Amino acid sequence: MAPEFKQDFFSALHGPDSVKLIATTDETGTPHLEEVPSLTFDANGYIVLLEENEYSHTNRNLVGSLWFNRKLSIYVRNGATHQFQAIAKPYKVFITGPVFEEHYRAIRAKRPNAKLSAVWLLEVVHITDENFKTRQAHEDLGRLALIHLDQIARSTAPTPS
Amino acid sequence: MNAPNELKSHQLSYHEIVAKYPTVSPFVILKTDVQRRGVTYTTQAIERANPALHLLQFRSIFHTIGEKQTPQIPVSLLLRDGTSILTGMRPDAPAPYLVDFVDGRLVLTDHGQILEEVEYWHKPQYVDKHTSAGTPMWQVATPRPQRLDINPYSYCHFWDDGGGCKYCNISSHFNKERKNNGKPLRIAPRDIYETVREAVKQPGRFANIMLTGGSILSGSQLFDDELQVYIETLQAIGENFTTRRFPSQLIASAFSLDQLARLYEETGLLTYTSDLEVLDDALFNWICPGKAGKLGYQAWKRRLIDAVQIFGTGRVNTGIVGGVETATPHGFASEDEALDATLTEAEDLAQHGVTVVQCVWSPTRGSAFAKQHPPSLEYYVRLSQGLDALRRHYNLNADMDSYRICGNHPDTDLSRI
Repeated sequence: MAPEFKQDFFSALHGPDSVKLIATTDETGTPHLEEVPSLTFDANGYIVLLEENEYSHTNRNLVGSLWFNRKLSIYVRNGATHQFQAIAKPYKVFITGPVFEEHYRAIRAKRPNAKLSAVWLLEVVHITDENFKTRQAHEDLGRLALIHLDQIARSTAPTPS
Repeated sequence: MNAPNELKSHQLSYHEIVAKYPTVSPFVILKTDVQRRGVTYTTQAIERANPALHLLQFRSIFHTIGEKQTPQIPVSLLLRDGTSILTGMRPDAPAPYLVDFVDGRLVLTDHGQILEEVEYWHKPQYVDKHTSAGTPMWQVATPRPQRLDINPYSYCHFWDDGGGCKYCNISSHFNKERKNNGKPLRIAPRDIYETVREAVKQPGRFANIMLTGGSILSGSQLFDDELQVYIETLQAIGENFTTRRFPSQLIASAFSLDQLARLYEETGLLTYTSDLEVLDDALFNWICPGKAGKLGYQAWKRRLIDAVQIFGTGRVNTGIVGGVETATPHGFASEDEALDATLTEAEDLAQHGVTVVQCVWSPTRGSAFAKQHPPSLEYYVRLSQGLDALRRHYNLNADMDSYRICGNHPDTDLSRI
């Protein structure tokens, strides 16, 4: 079953001005955050990450994620209200072959000095709506609200009836 | 040493090794075991190989696929993580993995269990073309996923007086292929120039050029004629590039300091490899009698260390045939002993700026060791871990022989993270 919000997430990913971040971890659990403006998706519903640097922190962490089943997080914000987080895992990396070469040609057509190390396909596991109000409502559902008493304290003494 | 080899019994399976070594990539463990045990294909898997897309014809110095005497089958495999599995032809492999086509996917299987998806290597565009002399370009340069392999000279003259390395089939293979398919001893530099020119037109297809061939002992100095072959070839290749140096590796005999200086100054070569094959003086004498007799282990090693002065740290390495140190009857009697000796010597080389990379020994037809057996999968995993750890400790890297540039060294696959 497709994760909830998948279409919304992909729409946000598609936004030309979207902010797109990926958080990966290394073998010690240390997180690494990177902005990846080129994040997109393919016809099969995989998130596509074009890695330009063979030795980047993100690339090494993605290899480790694929080898050892570590998940990663992708955050996308498109405008003030469209904010999503996808939990994903690497499915496959292309370092050669037709898919790699197609992206290689495309990226160098846009930027003639660009390099391309790898084309990652990331499989979405779960998506959450990170819009603050939506997220808060979801997170608070069924819980006793934390309300500091000053927030509900009367500013003036009640008038005796 | 000199004890019966008791290493081969009581070996842990792939799944047991993955469980026992949770910090080692299961992809690399699988690759290692496939190379160790060999691979074969179901009819359904073979039918998925598309001659227009996949590489089904291959001419290297050690084996051939898709020529007159050999069927067209997928040359090799890629795993989901980009790891290459160089499988070659092992018709007599005792317990090969099986590539099958199941539920719309090509998969590696073992005893009916699906282990991983695989892909066949893709065919580059140049291989269907011919040079101006009419030579099919696939016979001039052999593609790997990101590398172009060229073998300018296909016979090893250590075999002339019975001194060929005992695990190697290079010259028996050449004699067979010369007879069966008219394979030339030397490839003309002009053919190589034109083939490289054509190959590098394909954007994103190649990231490195590797040259290797048989040793040529003749010349004023030992290996002078071999050096000349490589200089002429590298100069021809270099005409294709705008930069003086181009991403390249030469795997050749151990040249003297003077020869190395010529190689560096007169060509655009970037990195240099000379294979010690087995990291033990006595075993080198037994397994590589030609190399031992003409130069000797210590001199071969010295020349490698000298090469660092010329090419720089991280640009010189040596290959070993991992596991051949356990060959019977003179090899190490225990895997622990073999591992300890190999890694101790690898550390000495690392301290001098020379990295060691291993290939998985798969006893090959046409070699003196054809009927021997490689050590356990666990041995290879420990060897790969050890070599990777040494590189990290001595701040060396595996870039010149990486998973992408080469793909035939499980230890350098581990260096990706």
